[in-house]
Amino acid sequence: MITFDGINAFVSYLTFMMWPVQDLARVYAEIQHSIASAERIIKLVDSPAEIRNKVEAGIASTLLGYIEFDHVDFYYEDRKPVLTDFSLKVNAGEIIALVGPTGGGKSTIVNLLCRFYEPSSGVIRIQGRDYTIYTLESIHSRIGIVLKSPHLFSGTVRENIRYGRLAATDEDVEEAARIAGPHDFITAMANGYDENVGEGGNMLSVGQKQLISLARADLARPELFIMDEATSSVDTLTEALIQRGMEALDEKPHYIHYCPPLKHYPQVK
Amino acid sequence: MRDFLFDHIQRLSFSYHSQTPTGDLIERVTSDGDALRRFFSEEAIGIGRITLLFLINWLAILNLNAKLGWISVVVIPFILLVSLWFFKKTTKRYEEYQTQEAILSTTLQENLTGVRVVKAFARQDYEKSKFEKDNWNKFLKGKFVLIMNSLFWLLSDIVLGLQMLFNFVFAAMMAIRGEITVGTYIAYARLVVWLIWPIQNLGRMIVQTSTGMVSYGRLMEIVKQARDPLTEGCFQPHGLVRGDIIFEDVSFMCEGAKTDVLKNISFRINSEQSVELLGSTGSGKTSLVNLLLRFHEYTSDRILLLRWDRDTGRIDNV
Repeated sequence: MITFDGINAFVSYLTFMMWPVQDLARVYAEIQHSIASAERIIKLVDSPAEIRNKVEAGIASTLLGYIEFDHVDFYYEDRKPVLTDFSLKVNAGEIIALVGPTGGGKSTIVNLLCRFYEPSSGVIRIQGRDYTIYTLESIHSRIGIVLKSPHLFSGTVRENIRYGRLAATDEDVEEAARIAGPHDFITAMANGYDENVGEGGNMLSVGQKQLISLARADLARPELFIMDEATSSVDTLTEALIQRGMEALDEKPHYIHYCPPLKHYPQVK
Repeated sequence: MRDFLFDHIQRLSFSYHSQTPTGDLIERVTSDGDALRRFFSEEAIGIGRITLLFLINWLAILNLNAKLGWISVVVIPFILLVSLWFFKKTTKRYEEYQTQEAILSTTLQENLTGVRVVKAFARQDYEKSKFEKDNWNKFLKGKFVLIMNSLFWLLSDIVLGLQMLFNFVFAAMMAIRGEITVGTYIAYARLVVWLIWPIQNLGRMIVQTSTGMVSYGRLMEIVKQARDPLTEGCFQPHGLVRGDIIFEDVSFMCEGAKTDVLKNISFRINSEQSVELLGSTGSGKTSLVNLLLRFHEYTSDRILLLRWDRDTGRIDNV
């Protein structure tokens, strides 16, 4: 026989027994969601960096010296060749201008040189040694690159130029800006070097952004200076002044400049 | 809602887009959109369900014994007041949290669009520490929201737990004194659980609702922005149009800037004339063209295209 108390206890226990069972279905659905999300995250984490330091990679002490492209082939993933059997030798302190039609592979050469990509076959040598023996960081930190579509980060003009060398003093920043050209228009702005450039530098014109990114690269004191049509939106007068400023630098880096105004350059390959 | 926001955002003016970080917009459309969806699918329905549960069970108890009915709900006004106070506090904290999350998205988005610059200067570590700093701030702000929530839950659980205990004891005493039957006591004990439990959840719902309200406000900030008036104006020529372009004393100032980009520009371009604009970097060549296309609105006098100005010409036609 079951007592009155027994029924009461039974109903209570039953309620508490059924509740977790109901909850189990919900928890199970949530676990499924989490697993799906975790798979997506793990896939991202596991995707290998295509270009990485070799195990035995050492630090490049300098990029000054001759740079050589030795029978370099390059194609992107679709196997359509961009460069075939390309050879070039650049001596220390030399200024090189790359000229070619749109899509001719100028940017690819620069991407290879900066090791954003590596040659599909052939070798790129710095000082006679295959550049893949060096760490990526030691190569990148010695290269100054200015793109034709310059990217600035939101923040002040000063912060953007300082990105080239974080330890630079305010004087260094202004000096770099004087050499690369943006100093005049920066001081003409209401807040000078503390003017906010907006997201992606939106508050400035393309030419102004180019000048600031030139100053940024200049401040990094690179050993290899690459200008990808870096002054395409700058007026010719300013451009000539910049060039004079750059050439007056004491420690001369390599220059690779690929851009139409050929008339300024003594040697065109 | 997403379709509407997408369409709305692409119709907003150039100056709005140049002033609003992309990360902020993305944050509002995704995270705030989700919070608002949760508000409608869970919280709004939940509050209705809880209110109904409470009322029905309360009426049932009042029906059993009116004295018990009133005694059982003594602390509820207090709980409601406290949850309103927490509602206000959480609203403010959650707003800060969402703003910080938008900053974090902006940092991420700028890093991705500028990835070539980051690589070119080998600044990965610098970018990482920048991200970590923003993320840490987000963590702190999020922690504050959670602390507010857990404080409230703790408080309401203790107070309501005590009320429940008091109810059981009080009803038991009444049964012992013979004021109610044992059967009434058991029915009451079953019902009172369904009286206190909804209130416990109601408090949580009210606090959670604050996140929904914040997100609603943040989305409305986008919605309230005026679209480019693409189709206002009456002049709408068809086919090939020819005529003069006249700038009359035009000035232009970027929104948020203090100095004019263009000041008192006047010129006339005759039909079939080719014109070349020359000027030093940043002198306003692009701005002038942008004005002509009405990507920006000029600040004084007028531009005449053919014979129509901005009050009569439709932008989509330009």
